Formats: sequence, structure tokens, C-alpha cells
Amino acid sequence: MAENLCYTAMNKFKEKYGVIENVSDKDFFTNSMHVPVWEKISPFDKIDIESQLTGYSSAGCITYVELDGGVKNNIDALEQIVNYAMDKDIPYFAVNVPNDTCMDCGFTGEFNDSCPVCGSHNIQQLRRVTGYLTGDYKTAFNKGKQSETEMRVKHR
Amino acid sequence: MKYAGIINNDVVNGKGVCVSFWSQGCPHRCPGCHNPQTWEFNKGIEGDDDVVINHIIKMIRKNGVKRNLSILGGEPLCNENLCFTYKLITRVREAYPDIVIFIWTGYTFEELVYAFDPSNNVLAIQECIMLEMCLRRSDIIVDGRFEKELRDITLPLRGSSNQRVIDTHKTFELGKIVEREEYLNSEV
Repeated sequence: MAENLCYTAMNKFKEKYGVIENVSDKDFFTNSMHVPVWEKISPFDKIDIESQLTGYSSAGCITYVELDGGVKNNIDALEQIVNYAMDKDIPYFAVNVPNDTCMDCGFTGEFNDSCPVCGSHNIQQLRRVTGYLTGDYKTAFNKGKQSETEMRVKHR
Repeated sequence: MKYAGIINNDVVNGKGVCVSFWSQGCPHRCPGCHNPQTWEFNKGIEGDDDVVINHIIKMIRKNGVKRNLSILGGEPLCNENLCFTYKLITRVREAYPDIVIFIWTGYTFEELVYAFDPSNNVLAIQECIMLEMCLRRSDIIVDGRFEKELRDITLPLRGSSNQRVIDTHKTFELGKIVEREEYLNSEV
């Protein structure tokens, strides 16, 4: 499975070739045709680049953009981005938004250990790592994928 | 001129994908402010007026996508920032007559209307004209200071419940404040 391979393959690579700058200096390989997660790039430029390669994939080929949680109040923006991806023939498109839910008052958004509305610490954090939604990526994913998740930047 | 920042594809402030511009410097200094780094007039990023405006005009249609413009701060309508804000709005409006222009200001709409009336002697005549044109050429004004006691982060586009999302054109047309209904209630 790609989620494990990005880490295991990198370890094997490092054993054989050592650490090479910009090739094997991370804990993970970047997936297939993805723009590296740390690149500061707009959602539209990312779709432009990935759409040139995504059609050649015979298997998983998700293209995703990382957006601010506040997009929940801006359905028009979401629609513009999704339509752009569809116009570029992206076969599998996803929008990642940080999705923290206060289990006491129901507020959703992006926050860490306490709810900005009621102050509760009873928080559920949902993140998408590759194709999967997970409640806690620190236990569900290996070191490579955790490091990839932490290096991600918002696309804006 | 100094500015605090630009986001080329902002999905949070405004409606649709927006180019968002933050002015630098603010006379209000509301306790609990979300952006206190924008208070000082001599901080922020140094920029040439035309370079910044040309960048914004180009970004609004980048990738063939139609974006709106959000002007935030800092205080874009105080004396120090008024001239640039006026130039920005005027040139963007010339280039794109049909996009939505949002302004966030710490002044209330009533304060601004009072200030741009030359008979009240608040501003010099040139400033009165620029301020009135900023308002008339924008579409939506989010007004009022941030009031810590009225903080409500569930409200769309604003931080406290005294602040209003005002439809500029209808407000001028009817001579009374008209708020945009789609932003009135919180969306949890």
C-alpha cells in the first residue's frame, strides 16, 4: 500500500544510497505525480501541474488541495476550485480542510486542544492523509506519512 | 507605501476565491485584535503603489479564474491608507466592473458617511472625495471595531456581533443601513 511504501521504500533507498539532498533527505517519497507537500503553490497552479500527469496513472491518482477551514462559509470558492479541477479532467479530486469538531457544542473549524466557542477540551480531530480520513494520524500512520502531514502547507 | 500582506487565493475572507490585501497601520487598536501586527504604520512590507496594484489586477484573473477583491487591515480607510486604498479600488473597478469588492473597516458606516461630508469639516476636500468613492465603488463593507465582549467566531466574515456586513449600493440607494442577509446568522 502506497501509504506504507513511501516510508519503507525511502528507508531501503537510504540503506543503499545514503542521504542525498533533495532526493532522500526526507522520511518519505513524494507520491506519484504530486507537487511536493511543502511547495507554496496556489490550488489552480497545483491542478495545472498535476492534471498533465494524472491521466497516465493506471491506479490511485488523487489530486488534492489543502484549504483553510473557513472555506465552510464560502461554498462559491469551493465550487470554483472543484469546477477548475473538473475542467482540467482530474479523475479523482479532493479538498482537504482541517476538520476539528467540539464534541460538546458541535462547533467545527481548525483549532488545537480547546474549542474557541465553549472552551471544551473534548475535541475530535479529523485529517485526510492521502486518500484516508483519520481521527488521529499520529497513531494511524507511519513516521514517513506523519512527517509528510506535518510538512504540508495550505494552498493559497 | 506599506502593506501587511496579500493572499492571492483566499477562500476565507469574502465570497468566492478572492485576492486579499491587508493594509498596514491602524488607529483603532481594539483589545483582542486578530491582527495586532498590522497596527504600526511604519512596519509591514514596503511596496510601490503601481507594482502592488498591477500584481493584484493580474492575480484577479490568474488561471482564467474570476476572483473577487477583499481589502482588510490594518485600517484601509484611515488618512494614512486612504489614498492607496482609493487608487487600488479605482483601478480594480476600472479593470473589472463586475467583481465584488469587500472592505473591512473599524469605522462604522455612519462614521464614514459623516466624515466624507465636507460640511462636517472632518477631512480635507480631496480626502472626502476619495473616501466617498472608496465606499461607492465597493460592494460590501464589513464595519465596526472588534468588541471583545461581543466576540462570536461563529459569525461569517466578522469577529464580533456589533460588526455588520453592509450592502453598500442598497445602503446608498435607500439612505439607511442594509445588511446582507446571507451573512446575518452564524453557521456552526
